[in-house]
Amino acid sequence: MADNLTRRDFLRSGAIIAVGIASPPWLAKIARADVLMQAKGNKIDPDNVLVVCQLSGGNDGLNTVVPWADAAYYAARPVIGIKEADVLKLNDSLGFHPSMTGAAELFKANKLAVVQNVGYPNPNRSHFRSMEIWQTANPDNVETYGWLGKYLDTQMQKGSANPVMALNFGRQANLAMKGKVASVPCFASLADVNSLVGNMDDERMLREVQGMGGDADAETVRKANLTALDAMSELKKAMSSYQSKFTYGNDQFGQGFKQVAQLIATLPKTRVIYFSAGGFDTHSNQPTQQANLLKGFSDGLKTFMDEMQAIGKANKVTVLVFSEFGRRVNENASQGTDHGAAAPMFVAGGLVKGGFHGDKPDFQNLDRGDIAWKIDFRQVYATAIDRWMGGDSASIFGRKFDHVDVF
Amino acid sequence: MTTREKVAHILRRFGLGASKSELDYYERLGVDGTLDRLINFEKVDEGFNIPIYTFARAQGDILQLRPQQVAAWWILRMLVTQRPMQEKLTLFWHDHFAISGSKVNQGLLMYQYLETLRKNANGNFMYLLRDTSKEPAMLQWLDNNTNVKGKPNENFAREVMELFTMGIGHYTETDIQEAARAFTGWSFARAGAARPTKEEVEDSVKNGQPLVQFMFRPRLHDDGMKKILGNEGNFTGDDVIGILAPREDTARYITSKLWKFFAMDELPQKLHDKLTRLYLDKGFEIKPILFAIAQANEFYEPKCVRHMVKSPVDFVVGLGRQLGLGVLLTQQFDPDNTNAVRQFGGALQQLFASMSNMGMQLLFPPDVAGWDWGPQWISSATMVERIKFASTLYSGRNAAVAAQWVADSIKARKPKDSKDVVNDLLEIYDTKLGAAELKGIIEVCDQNGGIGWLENGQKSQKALQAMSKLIFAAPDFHFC
Repeated sequence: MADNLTRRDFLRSGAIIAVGIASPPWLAKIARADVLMQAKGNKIDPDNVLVVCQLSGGNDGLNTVVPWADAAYYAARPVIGIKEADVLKLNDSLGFHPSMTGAAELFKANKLAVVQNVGYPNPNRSHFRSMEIWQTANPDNVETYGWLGKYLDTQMQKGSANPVMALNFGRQANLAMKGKVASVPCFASLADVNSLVGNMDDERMLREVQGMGGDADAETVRKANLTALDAMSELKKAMSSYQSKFTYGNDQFGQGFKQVAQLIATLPKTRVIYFSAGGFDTHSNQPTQQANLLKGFSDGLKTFMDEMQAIGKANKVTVLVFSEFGRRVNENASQGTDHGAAAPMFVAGGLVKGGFHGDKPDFQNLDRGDIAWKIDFRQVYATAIDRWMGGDSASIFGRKFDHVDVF
Repeated sequence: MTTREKVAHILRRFGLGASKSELDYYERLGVDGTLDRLINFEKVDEGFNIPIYTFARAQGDILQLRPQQVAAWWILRMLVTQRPMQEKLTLFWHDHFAISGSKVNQGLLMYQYLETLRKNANGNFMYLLRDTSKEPAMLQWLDNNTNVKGKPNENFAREVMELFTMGIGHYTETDIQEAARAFTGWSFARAGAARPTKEEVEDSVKNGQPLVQFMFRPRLHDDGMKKILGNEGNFTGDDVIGILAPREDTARYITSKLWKFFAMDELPQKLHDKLTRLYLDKGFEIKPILFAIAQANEFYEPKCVRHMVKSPVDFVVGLGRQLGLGVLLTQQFDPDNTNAVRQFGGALQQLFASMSNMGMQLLFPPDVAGWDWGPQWISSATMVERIKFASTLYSGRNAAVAAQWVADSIKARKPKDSKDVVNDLLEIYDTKLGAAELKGIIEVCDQNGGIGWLENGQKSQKALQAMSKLIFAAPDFHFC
């Protein structure tokens, strides 16, 4: 378990890669992380924040992290393959999509980890079901609660809950954040909060109208409303007390990351923030669409990380990026790609061990025409819960998963 | 209770909310007339004629219909129908025979399943059970289509006993294994090509002939002897249905579930016995049970009236009907105008999304056990969604017309001051609040110009949004 991870465990798990490419920068980082853990009595920093960024629609992994040295890639994608000359090369075989300049900088600064071939057994190619699988971390059965919701439930049992411990940005309450007891407020944007409690009198009136008396059921409603109001009250204060000095794009990622930055800057008690952005279902005209999306994502992430650095939070924040599936290796006839299976995940942060984790995509052993999974996404989740959030992933997933060495 | 109060209570439970126009209409029928019209709904013209395929998109010849579109279409039907009890019962059976579009992701199958529930909603439980069990959606959902001789799949056999008929604890594992053998060979097949064209779907809907149909495959059926719940024979799946439906355990389970859905959690033993006998004596007919529930003294006790937590359907569809949204939407409907159809679908998808955020994604129940009802609907996230619904209602595309309609209705009552306006609005919303709660709402009405906003379209949208926000935030609003 993370809380009492020993120094030997830490080095052992890191050693596998260390043997091959013993590169000083990240060895130094292990040592630093190690010292940090020792200093804290092997405890994870209780202020660590996890930001989960969901790319809805199925992002095409192969045109995001491009295997430009592999002829099979170009054979499968004669029209929409990213030309070698355009790839932002990161090593002798892989590179980012040309619009991901911000992400490439983070990668080179060792702050961005790319976990390759992430998926799960018997991949489901339905958006809905696959997203549900990622959100509940259960590929085998339909499950009521989400993986972060379960984590929050355990935190509540420890009595460490607060109204803004976890926040969800998006139009839909997110299954990943749904817990049995944990109730995570969901806002489409911070502007939503403004629309509810923006004016001086709004919050007072919403509290007044809760009234008193009534039976147990009315009390349930009242409590839920007051929890939401408590969260909104904190959020509103946060919004008015901080002005970002950074310029974000006006796209969904720019605005999303901007709000996340604002929350982290002003709400020290917030530990989990979830936000989703859509549009990745590129069955047709993929090149233009995906270029815009990836640019928004990469610029937003870069600016966010810069802002975290500027306010001294770079080492307190980890961003986890996923999509419900990758896309078919072969392009289709409409300059797009159909639903696929495994794809890369990103993990970004000041204490993240940057670089590639896992093998490059294997075109020889496909799963029904799609990239086959080699790393289970629950390994990445478990790593984040155990090593970053100080939780116990085994109790959440019902079994232990090997960690991916991203911290 | 006055007749009007009783009728309002009946409409909240056996209908889709007590909108003022419905209440005025049903009050004249009296309690008995109201129950007759609501429960014997086949006598009533539904007043809905927008077929499902207008919601589908065609890719070339192939029709694309997603379960989400079927759900949006269902919401429209709930908003428009003059048979509110048929939809309420369909919702009850959807929760009881819960199938999710997450696995059954072909909209057409979900549509056929929904139609089967609707057709049998107030009919005979044995037929409802049989027809729903044979729905292709159910066969796929509980893997009965892969349940074959020699390799039985027990998924359906278990759930049909545990969730659809007797309830847990009234059968053994052997009963399940034996029943699974009886259900082997159940399958389904498509008429025509694998992916139906728009034309085929239109024809099938018009003729009421499902495109995908149940099929019994004798060679996959295990016709050996089976022992099920003390019966012995070389039973088929139909035989098992015939064994399960008449069980007293089934009678107790189904009647208790109906009572809890329509009345309240508390069910006195004597009443339960009475409902159970009715089920058995009347040959598993559903209507007599519904009448008995609505005629029970307990149904009108103070602890029952306005003491049920509104489900997302009660909340969203109830408000929609109170504001006449169904009429508004259908007036704009033009099947030949692609753009209009898209916008129309968008408005309904918005309601679908709101309901989902409130915890009930129609046609996507969390699992085969359906949703958790009652206080389970309430959480801070879902309450934020309910409060936010004030802006969904009064901003956006149809908001101006809806606001105008509300303003006109209030104006017609000639209010003298903000207090009158607020009381009128609460009556439209069929809700009662205490003096303390009223104070703030009256204050907001004052801030927005008192009775002045009634004369100004833009102001009325703003005023209604602000007042509704507070009303939807009041705990008492969330009970029906």
